[in-house]
Formats: sequence, structure tokens, C-alpha cells
Amino acid sequence: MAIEDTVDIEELRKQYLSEVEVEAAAASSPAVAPAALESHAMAAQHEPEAVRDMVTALPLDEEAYEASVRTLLDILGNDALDPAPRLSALNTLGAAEFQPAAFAPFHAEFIELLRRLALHRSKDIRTAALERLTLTNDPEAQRLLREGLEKIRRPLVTAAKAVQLLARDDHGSAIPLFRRLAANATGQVREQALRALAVDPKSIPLFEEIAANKQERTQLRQIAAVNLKNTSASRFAKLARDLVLDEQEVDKLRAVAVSAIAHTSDVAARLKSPAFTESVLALGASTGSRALKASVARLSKTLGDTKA
Amino acid sequence: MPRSIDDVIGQIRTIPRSRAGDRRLASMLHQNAPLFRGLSAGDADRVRGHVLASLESRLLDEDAVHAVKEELRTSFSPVVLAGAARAVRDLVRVDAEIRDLLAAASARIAARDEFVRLDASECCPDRAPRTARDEIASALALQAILENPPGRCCGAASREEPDRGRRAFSLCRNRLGGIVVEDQSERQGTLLDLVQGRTSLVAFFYTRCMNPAKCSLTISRLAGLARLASERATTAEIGVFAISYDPDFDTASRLRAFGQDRGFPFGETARLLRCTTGWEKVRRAFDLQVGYSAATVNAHARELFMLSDRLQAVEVACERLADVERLLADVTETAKGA
Repeated sequence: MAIEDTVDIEELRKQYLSEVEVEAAAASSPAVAPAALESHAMAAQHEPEAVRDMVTALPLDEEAYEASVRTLLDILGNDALDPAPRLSALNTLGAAEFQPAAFAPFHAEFIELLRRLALHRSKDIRTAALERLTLTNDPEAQRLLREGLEKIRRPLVTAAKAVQLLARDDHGSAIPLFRRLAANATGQVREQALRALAVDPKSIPLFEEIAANKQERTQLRQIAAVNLKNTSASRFAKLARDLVLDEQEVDKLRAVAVSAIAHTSDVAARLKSPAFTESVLALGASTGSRALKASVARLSKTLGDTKA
Repeated sequence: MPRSIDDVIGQIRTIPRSRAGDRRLASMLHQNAPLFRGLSAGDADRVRGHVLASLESRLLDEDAVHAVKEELRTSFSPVVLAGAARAVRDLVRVDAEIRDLLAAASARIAARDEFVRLDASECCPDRAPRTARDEIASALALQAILENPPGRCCGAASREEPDRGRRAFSLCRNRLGGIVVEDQSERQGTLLDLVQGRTSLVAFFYTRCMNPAKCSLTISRLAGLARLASERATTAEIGVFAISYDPDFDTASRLRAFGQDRGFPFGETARLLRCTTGWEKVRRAFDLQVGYSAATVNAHARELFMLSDRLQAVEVACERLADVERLLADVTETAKGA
């Protein structure tokens, strides 16, 4: 699903079930010999769907492992084939990687191939290659994505997707870029950049500013508030208190604040006072929002449990 | 102004083959070298791999050999290990420890091997790209190691690393007094108050370190030492402290979780710390081997120091934490002699 789309949970459920169905069908079909797949894929008149189904049915048991992985790498790297069977080969290689000792002799070649495919003309193949490479913080993939966002090169994926993939790096190699995008970009790119800054202590003032700004989208303010909770309990406590007590504030954001206080003992301890507890209870009694009522019920319990 | 990594690597390759050139390259092995400033961790590894590879067939002093061995002992980066393998090609013949370390490094990256393009050797400009394990195998093959394999196949070599004339220096009382630290329970105080008047072991680490052979292992071993020290009346007062390289990120709750996960016995004399004021002073005082990207650490050594009650500091090889009984005995002896 493209990252720009709003996630429709029902659509996602259907998509997932359909994938499970395909996998189940493949699992129940007879195993395919790697040589048979190779020869079918190389035939001039090959049927992409048949190749894809054969790829899914390729055995990865001990006996066939080496030949199967060899075939999968060949299919993944074969530019004469359609993207669909190649992506299927990439998925199956992902499963093969779960046997790291057996996969070890192929690892270097696999990474090299993925780096080549990160520049492929097919967007689907490029994206899939970059998805896999960024899972292991591949510096080459990170460089390509960064350069796309900085407009040094033609972007290989959408800007929001690039941010999402770069955010996988625990060492935050793109954090300065995310800071710029979270402050100045728009739409999904800004949202993803803000998410990517989740634990960046240097962005605390930005989180405070966005979370408190009623002109910003609620979704964005919500992300900023959660980021602030992750980075500074004391500063989040102040923000959360203001959000909870502001009657003009949107219910969704107040529910997030109340819930975050309830689940963060440091913050709850900082806010606990008879006056605050009373205000929270009054909020629970007056609101029409079920989510807010539920959050208030949780917080009331926490405030009761927290030592003053 | 952002630097191109290719330019940085190009500069490394042009360092002349001379005593001065050798010394300049060796100085680039320090993790706090300006070369690494602002680079991402991946780029820092790549540059480091090229620095190491450029040491091939050069004169390595004792510090450089130690640095290369430490990479072979702890690194999980294919490009760094490939560079290290080239750096020690001439030493494989005479140094059994290097042979063991190379074999262990090769086993360590078996499931994450990659093609590397070092191209630092002037002898073979058309050398085809090789994987990191190929580079290591090539270094070992020089000595026909395949015909006479080392005794171990995997894991770190157990040979003891002596303290080999490591850094010894005095810490300035006034400077330590201006450094404020916070422990895992949010207790704050000056570093001076923490270490003066008692013998201490001080390690450095950070919770985001992704290398299991570095910070995680150091804190696990330090926890073992702290437990042992607390069990004996003669060592109960020895301070066992570890200070984060990443003080903004490593808040008290993160320090607490990191220590708890590694069985660190928190107490008055056993604490994980972050600096809230004066981190740059700490870096300078201990000459810490750590480099930073724009967000966090991009490279670091394993660093452990013994501090006397009079603020005399001596660096201790981190490998010595593998034998906490012996290290504690040495610390106790030093404390008595102080």
C-alpha cells in the first residue's frame, strides 16, 4: 500500500487475507524443482504468473536449499522477467534468509544484487530492494535515499517513503534532514519526518511548538505530543496538563494526552494533585467522547495509585 | 560544508608512503579524529575501512597494531574488517594472535558478508571486488594457514591483551568539579564528588550501541565486577561507574533499563551515568576515542579507566573485564599502594 494513502483498515484486512490465501495455496501445491523453474523462466514464452507461482512453491528444505536460492537469485536478477515473479523471488529469498548459516554463502551476492536493483527502472523493484536494504542499515541504500530527498539525484521512491525507510536507522544518520522536513515540509513528508524524530532530544522545542499549535493538523499535533513524551517527561507533563485542561481543545488530542499520562508513571507523578484529579474527573463526566471517557477512567485509576 | 565521502577516501589514498605518511594514517585510526566528524555510522565505517586498507605494507607502530587488533576483535562491519585484514597482511606470518583474530572475525561476519571495494593496493589496480571474508581468507592464505588452521573457529580470541603502556594521566580537580553527572535514578552531583577519595573503575558506553561486542558486553562484564566487588569487605567501596557517550539521549530511565537488562547491581558505588553539564570537558579529560554524526555516536573504542583516590587515571584494556577476579585483585592492589 502506498504510504501517501490513508490506511483503510478494512482494505488492509482484505489485502492481508488475500495474501494469506495465496500463500496457503502455494504451500499446498506440489514442490517445484529449481531446475524446472529456471528452465521455464528462461523460456521466451514464459508466463509471468506461472513463474510467480513456481517461485512460491520452491522448496527451501536442506536438500534443495542451495539450488533453490541459486535459482531465486537468478530470477531476481533477470531483467528479462516481469517485476511480479522477481518480487516473488525476493519474498522467497526473505524466507530463505531465516536460515542464516545456510544463506551465508549467498549473502554478499544478494546484497550486491539488491544494491543494483535499488536503481532499477521498475518502481516496485526499486522500492522492494530499498525496503530490504534499509532493514540492515545498508549505507549505500541510505545514501541513495538521502540524495533523493536532498535533490542531489532523481528520487528513487516518494519523499515520504524515503523518510520512512531512512528512519529505520537506529543511529539516525538522516536526523538533520528529518529536522528540516518536520519544520518546513508539508503533508505526508512532514508527518513521516516528525515520526522519524520520535526520540530526538534536539527536536523537543519543535515538538512543543507543533503540539501546542491549534492551527496544525490534529494528527501532526498528536505525533508531536507522543514524541515529546518520549524525549522529555517534564516538558510533556506541562503540555499534557494544558491539553487536558483546555476546554477548547479537540477531544482526540485530549484523549491522547490523558492516555499518555495514565501510561507514564513519571508524568503522572509530576501532575498528581487534588485539583488536577478533580479536573480530570469532571472532564470524564462531561465529555461525549467514548475514547476520552475510557482514557479518563484509566487515568483516574493511575492517579489514585500514584504516590503523591 | 558537507563533504563527499569519495573525496575523503580519495585523500586517504593519496597519503604518501613515508614515515610521516604512515604516522598520519595511523592517527586517522582514532575514533575522535576530525576525519569522522559529522559522518553517519555507515560512512564512518567505510572511511575507517579505507584508512585501514591504506596501512597495507606500511610500518605499523604499537598503537596502530593495537587499534587494528581491536577492530578484528570487536567489529561487525565487513568493510572495516576487510580493511583490517589488509592492514595486517604483513604481520600474519609473525603474530599468532592476529591469525586467531582474523579467523574469529571471518566467522563473526559469515552471515553478513558483503562485497567491498577498497582498491587501496597500488600493486593490483584491476583487482576484482572481493567480499570481506575473501579479504580475510586472502590474508590468512598468505601464510598457508589453510594447511595449518588455528585452534579456534569462532568467537573472540581469548588471548589476554595487556595494558601495554596505556595512557596514564592526572585528572584536574577543578575541572571535574565543574562536571555534573546524573545517574540511573536521576541523582545528580559532580563527577569530582563521585570519584574523589575512592578507587574507581570508569567505563564509557552508550545504550544505542549496536555492536554486541562493545557497550553491551562491557556493561555486562562491568556488572559482574561490581557484584564481585560488593560481596567483599575489602572491595565494597571501590566505585564501578560507566558514563554514556550519548548524554542527551541516554536519560536516567534508559540508563536504568540498559543496566537492569544486563544485571548491573545499582547502588551507591555502582552507577550508570550521563553528563548533564560539561560533557566536552569529560571528553578532553579522558581523551575519549569517540566520534559523532549529526545525531549520535558514529564510532568509538572500548574505554575503561582506573582512577585512584587522588585522581590519577590509567587506561585499562577492556579485554581485562573478561577476568573480573583478576582485574579486581589488581585494582585492590593499586588501591593499597596508593
